[in-house]
Order: sequence, then C-alpha cells, then structure tokens
Amino acid sequence: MRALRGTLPKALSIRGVSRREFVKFCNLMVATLALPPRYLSAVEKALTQSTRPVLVWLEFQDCAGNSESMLRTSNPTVAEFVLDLFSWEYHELIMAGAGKQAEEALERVVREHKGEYIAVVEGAIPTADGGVYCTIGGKTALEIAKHVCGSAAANIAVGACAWDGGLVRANPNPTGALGLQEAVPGLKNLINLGGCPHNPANTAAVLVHYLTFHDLPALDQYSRPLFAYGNIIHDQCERRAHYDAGRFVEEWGDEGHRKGYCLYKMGCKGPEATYNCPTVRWNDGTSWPVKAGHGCIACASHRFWDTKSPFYKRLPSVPGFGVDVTADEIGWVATGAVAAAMVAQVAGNMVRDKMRAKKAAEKASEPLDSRGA
Amino acid sequence: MKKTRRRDGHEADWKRPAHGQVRVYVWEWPVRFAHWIMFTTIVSLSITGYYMHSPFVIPHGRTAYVMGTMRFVHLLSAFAFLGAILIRVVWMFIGNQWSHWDQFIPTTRKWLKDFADTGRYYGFMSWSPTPHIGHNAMAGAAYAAVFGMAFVEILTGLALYSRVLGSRTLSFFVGWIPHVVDIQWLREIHFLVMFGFWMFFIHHLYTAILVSIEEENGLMESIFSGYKFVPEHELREAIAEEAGEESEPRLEGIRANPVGGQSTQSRV
Amino acid sequence: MARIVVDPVTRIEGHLRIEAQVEGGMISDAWSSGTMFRGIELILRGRDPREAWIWAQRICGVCTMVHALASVNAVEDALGIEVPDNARLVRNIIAATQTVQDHVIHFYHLHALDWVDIVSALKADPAKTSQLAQSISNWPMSSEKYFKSVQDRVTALVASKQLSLFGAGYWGHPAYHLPPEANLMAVAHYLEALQFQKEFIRIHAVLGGKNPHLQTFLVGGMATVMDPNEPGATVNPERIDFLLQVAKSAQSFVNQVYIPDVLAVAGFYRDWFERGEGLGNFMSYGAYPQGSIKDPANFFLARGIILNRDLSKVHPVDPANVTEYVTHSWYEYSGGDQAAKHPFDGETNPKYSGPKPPYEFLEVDQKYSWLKAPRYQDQPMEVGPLARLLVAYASGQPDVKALVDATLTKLKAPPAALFSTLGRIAARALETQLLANRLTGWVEELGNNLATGNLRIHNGEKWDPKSWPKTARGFGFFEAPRGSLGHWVEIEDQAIKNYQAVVPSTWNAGPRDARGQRGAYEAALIKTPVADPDRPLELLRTIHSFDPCLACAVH
Ligand code: HEM
Ligand code: HEM
Ligand code: NFV
Ligand code: SF4
Ligand code: SF4
Ligand code: F3S
Ligand SMILES: [Mg+2]
Repeated sequence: MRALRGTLPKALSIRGVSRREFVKFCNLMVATLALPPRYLSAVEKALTQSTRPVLVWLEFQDCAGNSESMLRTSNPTVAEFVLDLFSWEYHELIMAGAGKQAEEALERVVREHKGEYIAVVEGAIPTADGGVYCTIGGKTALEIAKHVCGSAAANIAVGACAWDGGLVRANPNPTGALGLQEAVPGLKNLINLGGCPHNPANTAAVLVHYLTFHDLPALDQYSRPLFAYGNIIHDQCERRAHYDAGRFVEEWGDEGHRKGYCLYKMGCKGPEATYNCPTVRWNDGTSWPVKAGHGCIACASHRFWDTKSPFYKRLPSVPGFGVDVTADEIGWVATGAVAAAMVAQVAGNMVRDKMRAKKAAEKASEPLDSRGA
Repeated sequence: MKKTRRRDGHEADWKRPAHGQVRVYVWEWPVRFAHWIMFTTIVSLSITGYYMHSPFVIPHGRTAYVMGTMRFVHLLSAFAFLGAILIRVVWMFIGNQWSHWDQFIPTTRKWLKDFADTGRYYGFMSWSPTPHIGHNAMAGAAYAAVFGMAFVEILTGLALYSRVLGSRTLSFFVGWIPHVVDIQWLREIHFLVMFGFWMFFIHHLYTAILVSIEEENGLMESIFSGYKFVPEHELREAIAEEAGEESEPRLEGIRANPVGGQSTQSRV
Repeated sequence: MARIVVDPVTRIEGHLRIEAQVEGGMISDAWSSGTMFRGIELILRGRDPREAWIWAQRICGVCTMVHALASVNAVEDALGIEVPDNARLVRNIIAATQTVQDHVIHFYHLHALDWVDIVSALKADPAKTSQLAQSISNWPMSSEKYFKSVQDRVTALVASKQLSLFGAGYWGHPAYHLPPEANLMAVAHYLEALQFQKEFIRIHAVLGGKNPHLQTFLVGGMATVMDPNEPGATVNPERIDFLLQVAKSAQSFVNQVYIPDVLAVAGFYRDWFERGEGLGNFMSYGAYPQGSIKDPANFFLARGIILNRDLSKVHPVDPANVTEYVTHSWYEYSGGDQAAKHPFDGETNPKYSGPKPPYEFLEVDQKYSWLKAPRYQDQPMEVGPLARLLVAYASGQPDVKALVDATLTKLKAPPAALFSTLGRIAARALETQLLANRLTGWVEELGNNLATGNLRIHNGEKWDPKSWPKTARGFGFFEAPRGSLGHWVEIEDQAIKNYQAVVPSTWNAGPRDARGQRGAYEAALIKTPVADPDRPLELLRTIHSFDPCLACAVH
C-alpha cells in the first residue's frame, strides 16, 4: 500500500485519518462530480501535490453568506482547503492581514501569479454613478474585478449576487448592480454557482475538480455545473409522492403539514427550480428547506428574486392589478363580465323581435331574409 | 320530424329547405371533426389545467393519484387539441371557400363593411343580422382569436412540457422560450389564456343560437351536418364572386340542390 | 502627526474603512466609514410583508436569521399577531444558536489573530503547551502528541512558503505578548473552533433547512411543524434528541475551551482593560422572551439603558426615541440633513458626495460614510454583548450578576474594567456561556410540549392579506450578536410602503451626527496607542472588539 504523500494526507493522518478513509474521501469527490471511477487515482494525485494553487476570494456587494457557507464545508473541510489544498491568499472575512498589507497581498498574487490563480467572487458589482456604491481601499469594485478577474486562470462566481446580481439587483436595483459576467464581460473560464447562498458541497466539488483537471466541469447555458444545476427540485423532492397524489398542505401547521404533505399550495417554487438540495442537502446533508417545512424559493434560479417572487403565491401578481389580486380573480371576473353581456344581448333581442314582428305585419310582402329595416 | 314555422308562413324542416332556399354543404367533415375535438379537449384541458393551477380535489386513501392523473389527462388532451388545430389549419388552405383562411381576417372592403354591419346588429342598430353562407366577419374575427389563443397555449404549453419532460429534442424547439419569458410568466399566460377560451365559448354559444334563430338557416345544425340553408340569390352572388377569382377549384366544395328538390348527396 | 487609513479592515463582515489621526504614538481622532451600499430598504418597498423576512435576512449572512426574526416581529407587531408558544421557543433556540456560534467564530477566527502570533507557535514546546492547556481546562484534546501534530502542520505551512490566509499578518509586532505555548494552544483551538462551528450550526439546518439563510420563518409563527409520531414533521422526538446532544456539545466547548482561552489571553493583556472604553452609554432592547414578547420583564436578556458608565441606574427604553442622522452620511433628507428622523418617517435617499474613486482620503469634515448615525434621545449608544451584560448586571439579574462578579474576581479586576476593549471580549464570552447553558433548557421545553401534545406552531388568523387593515405600522426588535436590532415597517394596501432597519453595527460604526458627536468606534479609538503606524495592530484590536458587520450596518 502506497504511503501517504503530500500535505493533505499528512493533515489527514494528523487527524488520525487512515489511508482507507482518504481513499473513501476521494471516492466521495468522484461521486459528487459524477465522474467515472477511473478518475479516482487522478483525484488522489491532485489532492497530494506539494505546491498549492493560489486562490483569492473577493467580496463586493455581498452579505458574506457565501463565505460563511464555505466555512461549513466538510469534504474537504475549510481548514483543508486553506492549509492543505490551496494557498488562500486573500479573503477579507478571515485573512490575517488588513489595510495596506491586505491590498499588497492581492497585488502580489496578480503580479506574480498572472494567469495561474483562481478568483472567487462573492456579491454583486455596482455600475451606477461610477461605481461609488462599493469601494475597497478607495477603488471601486468594478475596477478591482476587472483587474483581478481579468488575469485569473479561472473565475468562480459564488451565490446569486455574483452570478446575476441577486438580491442587490432586484427591482428597482438602486445601485445598478450586475453579476460578474455582465459587469466584466468576456472573462475566460467563468463558472457560476448560483444559490442564496451557494451550497459549499458543490463548490468544494468544483474546486477539487479544478485541482484534478485544471479545468472546470461540464456547464449549462448559464455557465453552471450540470452536476449541481441539471435537475429540477420538484423531481427529486421527498414530498413528490404527495404532490402526485394530490395531498397538499392547505394551511401552515395543519395536519397535512405535520404529515409532510406537498407545499405546492403554499407557494413552493420547487417545480420551477433547478438545484441539488434534495440529494446533497445542506450542512453535512442534515436537511434542506422543503424538508424543514417551508417551500423552496428557487434561490438557484436566474434572477429569482424578481422572477420567482412573490414567494407565497404560486404565480406572480398580474401587473396593473393590486398585489393581493390573483390571476384567478381576474379570469373569473372577466369571464363573468362576458356572460353578463350575453344575457343583456338576449334581453335586447327579445325586444327587437317584438318590434320587428309589428313592422312585419305592416308590410308583410317584404322578404325578411334580406337586409333589415 | 322537427318543424319550424317561418315568419313568411312557409314550413321547413332541417333536411328539406323551405321556399326560396337552397341547401349548401358549408362545413366539410374535417372542419366539423376539428371543431368537436377542439371543443372536447378544451373542456378537459380547462378542468385538468385549473386543477393543476389550484388543486380543488381533496383525495382519500393512500393510493390516490389525483394530480398525476390530471397531468396525464391534460397532456393527452393537449396533443389531441394540437392535432385538431393542425387539421383545421391545413384545411384553411385545401378546404372549401368557407373554410378558407381569409374567412377569419377581415381583409377586403366587403369584409370590413360586413364587420361594421354585424357590429351595428349586435349594437341593436339594425333589425336583422347580415346573412352569410360561411360565417360573418365578426364571427370570423372571433374564430381568428380562437386560433391565436390556441397558438399561445400550444407554445407555452410545450415550453412547460419540455421542462417537465426534460427532453433534449423538445427543448431544442421550445427550450429557448423560458429564457425569453420566465417559466413563472409562461404559466401565468398559459393560465390566463384559458379564461380567453371560456369567454369565447360563452359568446360563441350565444351567437350560434341567436343567428340560427334569426337567419333561420339551420346554422346550429350546420356544425353537425355541415349543411346550411341559404336564399338562392345569395348562393348565386357567392358563386359569381368566387368566379371572379382564379381560385376556381374551391367551388367544387360547394354542393347545392335546386329549390324544393331533394339532396342528391349522401350526407357526410 | 499622521493620518493613517485602514481599508479594508479585514476579519470582519463587510467593507469598513477607518481613518485615524495619530499624534505622539496615540490616536487623537478617528472616522469610521462604511463603503458599500445595496439599498435593501428600497428593494423591499411594494413587496408582500409576509415575505419581507426572506429579503431582509439577506442584509447579512454572518448574523443570518437575526434580520428574519426582527422582520417577522415587525410585521406581527403591525398586524397584532401573537405567535404560539412553540414558535417562540423555536425562535429562541435558533437565535441563541446563532449568537453562540457567531461569538465563537468571532473570537477564534476574526479576533484571535490580533492577540495570537501564529509564527511564534513554531517556537513552542508541545509538552509545556500540554501542561498549560491542562492547567486551565479539562478539555480532552490537550496531549503533547496532539499539540506536536498541530505544530507540525504549522511548520509544514510555513515551510511551504505559501502562508495562505496568514501571509500578510503582523507577526512579530511588539504588541504581541503571548508566550509561544499559549500561541500554539490558540492555533490548535482556532482549528478546533472551525470544526465546532459547522457541527454546532446543524441545529439551524434541522430547524431552518439550511444555514446561512434559514428558510422556516413565517409571519405568525414557524414552518417547523411538530408531531410526536410523524417522521415527516420537522420536530419529532428523534430530532429533539439530536438538538439536545448538539446543544450539550456546545456547552462543553464553550465552558472548556472558549472561556478558559479568553481568561488566559486576558491575563497576558491586562493593559487592554484600560483601553478602548468609548462612549460610556449602553443600550439593550432586551431579547429572548420567556412569555409574551410584549412584556420585556420576562426576557432572558434585560432591556434598558446605562448612561455615562453609571451602573447604579438603568433607564427605560422607548423605541419612539430612536432617530437617525445623515448629516455626515451619503444620503439626503427631505427637510434638510441637520434634523434627525424617526424610522417611521425614515428616508433612504442615497446621494454620494465623497471623493471620486480611486481616492486616498475621505472628506471627513463633510459626508464620509454609507452608515446613518442612530441616536437615542440625541445620545450615541454602544450596543452589543457588553451593553447587554451591563444592563442585565445593573438591573440585578441574579445569574448574570453572579457570573460577572465571579469572573471579575478571577481576573482581579473592578467592574469599571468592563468599559474597555477586553471588557467587550469578556462580556461576549460570558454571554456565550449564559446562552449555551440556557439553550438546552429551551430545547427541553420544546420536547415537553411535543410530549404533552401541545403542537401549535403557527397562528394563521392574519395570514390572508384581505384580513389586514388598509394601513398598519410595526416595530420589530432583537438583540443580535452585535447588539440592538430594530426593523420598522409601514404597510399600506397589503404591500410594504416603507421599511427601515437600524442595526447594531449602525449604532457602533456610525459616523458623527449633526452635533458632531462621535459614533462608538470613533470614540473608542481615542487614546489607543499605535506603536507602528504602518502596522496599526492596536487599532484593529479595539475595532475588532466590537465585532463589526458592515453589510448589516448599511444594508
Ligand atoms: C386550451 C388549451 C389549454 C388550456 C386551457 C390549458 C390550461 C392549463 C392550466 C390552467 C395549467 C396550469 C397552469 C399553472 O397554474 O401552472 C396548465 C398547465 C400545463 N399545460 Fe396546459 N392548457 C392548454 C393547452 C396545453 C397544451 C397545448 C399543452 C402542450 C403540451 C399544455 C401543457 C401544459 C403543461 C405541461 C402544464 C404544466 C403542468 C405541470 O406544471 O406539471 N397545455 N394548462
Ligand atoms: C370552446 C369550444 C368551442 C370552440 C373553440 C369553437 C370554435 C369554433 C370555430 C373556430 C368555428 C368556425 C368553424 C371553422 O371555420 O372552423 C366554430 C363554428 C361553429 N361552432 Fe363552435 N366552437 C366551440 C364550441 C361550440 C359548441 C359547444 C357549439 C354548439 C353546441 C358550437 C357551435 C358552432 C356552430 C353552430 C358553428 C358555425 C357558426 C358559423 O357558421 O359561423 N361551437 N366554432
Ligand atoms: N450588526 C450586525 Fe448583524 C449582527 N449581529 C445584525 O443585526 O451582523 Ni451581520
Ligand atoms: S447570494 Fe445570497 S448569500 Fe450570497 S451574498 Fe448574495 S444575498 Fe448573500
Ligand atoms: S414540496 Fe415543492 S418541490 Fe416538493 S413536491 Fe411539493 S411542490 Fe414539488
Ligand atoms: S430555496 Fe434554495 S436552498 Fe434549495 S430548496 Fe430552494 S433551491
Ligand atoms: Mg437603515
């Protein structure tokens, strides 16, 4: 049995992790990435290489939810990522250096690792009014993004904000916020990991994939990895049997809710959403929103804040009517109006017939089939 | 045998035309076939669709499969509906003059005038409806709207279906739609257009009944039998008008029999 | 006399910039600026109040859920909704879990490196380190072998010449006083805490579906349905067991690792009991209702105000006295920027008037921040764990009083020592201990309700917007990890007309007001020594002691 080489195996052995467990871990990565088993050795090799790729994590108009989410990863753990797999040289939330020293660290990466490092971006980028809505060290987010992402080997946009502007870009988008790919067009090797926040299990898999192949996994038309965003929540959901049966939660906390019925009528957007929450779940596979009792809000869908809200209604409110007016009401009222009009017509015709009969009696000879009076 | 007493004293039944009328084969079988398929599928699509929108049945028993069934029936009906529309659209080009596409869109001066006349009639500004062998300009427009709505439902429906199905081939044709109009809005449109059909339906029944009473031309029967009764002079006008055009062949479509005579045609 | 700038201030949430005037090795004046604005208050307008919490929660992903809680509280207050007892319990459990986890992460991953010199850990003797660890705690992971392995890991890191996150630290700075062994122990606990936080937060996954950004809040209660015999229910006996077990593990970590570490570090930095004292005004809205939320008397953490460090008197809190200034903030008020506005009449009209980026210095005599300047009866207030602890202490809450006094005697320090940089750190640790210990109690109460068939989790009377008045206004509050959080909502025609959030870090990190009064950070920095203006470690210590969150502060 080959001895463990490199930093991760060392780290693992320090934590009393045997070679068997290490291989198990590699297997898990291969599985998450939906790779054929023959890639196992490649993954192993990548995880045991001695010089680590450089990674910088940029925060712009964010809430740090994606950084926090990253702290929750388990395979590998954030400690393994930071100490053993990458050289995580810039990340405002947790880096040691501050101010000038932090800015220099970032500059050094761009200077000394041009075209080699990975740039992770969290948060939207304001483009209105010269970008004054987000500055770091006196420079605008837009400037920094162009500078840093422009010369990265790969760019990873984590979370809805970095992908498509997310919440920050929601109507009326007060700061002209955009996602990375729109704010800095033409970036090479860009991958979007939507979600609010991103699920770190997927991000971990993407990073390991990059370590292994120095390349990104297969992407969809939004540059999102198919392995994570290829399937509809609704088709993987544990409540789906209840949906097909027609068993729905009618009111929060009712019997159906306690029995785990389908949340469709409470506005669940699972039928519209693609993501792998039901299979990967969150926080070490502990749970996911629908399992916990609340509908999905399609947080990994494009521009979901505007396109999928209001979240407690199955469908959006029709523009031009009040927020509380549903499409049903509009439809029924309109149909009713037509019916009423027809009733009025019937009445009108009865009257007309009577009058016409009188006229007919006066000049009976005239053929009534032709044009009326 | 059902008899109707006409205002000019003559008697007529729905097979034998009354004095001064000829019996004309207006709605060929594909038109009628398509018509009734459309009708039945729209009814089932509306019921199942409305359920999918807001499930109104509370199922009992562990084996219930209400939503599943509704969706299945909806899709089945959907494709029947789609077929009917296709047949009818094809027939707009190969069918007789009254099934021709130009019957639906008021293009010519005459059509526009007729549109106005019909409008005046429904607005109680004239005594009797304008007589027609096919349908009047306004009905034509309403029917055009029907085909328009059908087109929207099919497009949005197929787009929704391609998501449900996740099929590459289908999404090749309609997959682009959700990227132009968000899936939520596709559903909204798909749902709202349903009421459009309901509105048409109400108006349509009303006019069909009204006109068949007023024109006493067996219109209501025509959508079953295909035949209408029309005053001879009108048929002549129609033929003369058609003769003016080069599109002769469609005249074959018309089978008329002389005053008082018996139909030589076996009815379809 | 030099102007120093720290931007970005790191190991905090968000984009904070500090400009400070240094004279004779000491800070003579300081300006705190938030440099990122999103406009979430504007984005919320016109939306369904029932889902406001989903949006508001995204104000921050570090103190995730606190804005969700304040938001549902505000809407419930506006519509006069009383939530079922179970909902109150679940909310307390979620909130306490958040605060405990937030405080642990703050101490180990955001603050520790101001006191701990990682590189010095290389010089440590694992055996001595083991003795030190065992002398202060009976935490099992304290063997020589263990500390050796951690040291090896650090050595490997340094040898690789890729120091990763630790590359740009101020290692070797004269202000670091810990002996190598203490540094090594701290590094070990830094890594353990990383492991702890993600295990512990699974409480949120169970009760919220995920963390960050939980998804089970509801106006009127919670979506976490309870049922003793339904596996499909969010809360069932098996989940209660899980929650209890995780909560207990938190107790041991806090009592055996966090608290001893804080006391140890404090022992080596006693001079920081006299630094960074700041405003001397402290406010707490009170939090963790143990009965009706309308009656602060039953709150686990008391409500009140302390003025000018006078612990003999606790003043009442009336939300009507809260206002915000924009005199030095990049906004405009209708009716002039000199007058303050109460959040119910609050306005958010961004108008940047600062220097054109890229810039070197802000125009600190004019507008210089995206934060507004909150005031209580025109007084600036410090909020946060220290404020809460002092209010509870001064109002004679027995458990708090006992704990604080015991700790102060351990540290041989008078209560006045709490008004300081270290005071904030100690208060945060003690609060963590109080909450970690209380947490299990709330889980047990929830378990009892489950057992006794009290399953009600949501009050649906006002769920249908048609049952609402044409207009309504409400105030929602919580004591978030960083302090007093308030959301003010105005509803009209079933939609949000105006939404205003006044957030802990807005109180602490805010700029000056119309009368030129400094915010809490600005005040606390005065007289802070700066040995080396190029590496202002001491400045970071005082700023970090507040646990800044700028995404919260500006939103
Ligand atoms: C007169 C024609 C039709 C009517 C009135 C109709 C009505 C509806 C309604 C009301 C819904 C529910 C919308 C919602 O609230 O989500 C629906 C869903 C749907 N319809 Fe139709 N529809 C029609 C034609 C079609 C056609 C031609 C297709 C083509 C395949 C189609 C496929 C679908 C699909 C796939 C769904 C979504 C089902 C699901 O979400 O699982 N429909 N339809
Ligand atoms: C939603 C259901 C229906 C739809 C969408 C519909 C649609 C149409 C269309 C498009 C036509 C024009 C014939 C053609 O050129 O294809 C038509 C004609 C007609 N339909 Fe319907 N129809 C519906 C239901 C009915 C029903 C229930 C009846 C009667 C019981 C009816 C009676 C007629 C009659 C009498 C005509 C001939 C009217 C004329 O000559 O202008 N329809 N219908
Ligand atoms: N300040 C703040 Fe928060 C907290 N604790 C908010 O209420 O951190 Ni993001
Ligand atoms: S995507 Fe969500 S979690 Fe991530 S920064 Fe934006 S709001 Fe926060
Ligand atoms: S809960 Fe949501 S995702 Fe699950 S089946 Fe019902 S609708 Fe689909
Ligand atoms: S809301 Fe987001 S977390 Fe998953 S369940 Fe829906 S995609
Ligand atoms: Mg505010």
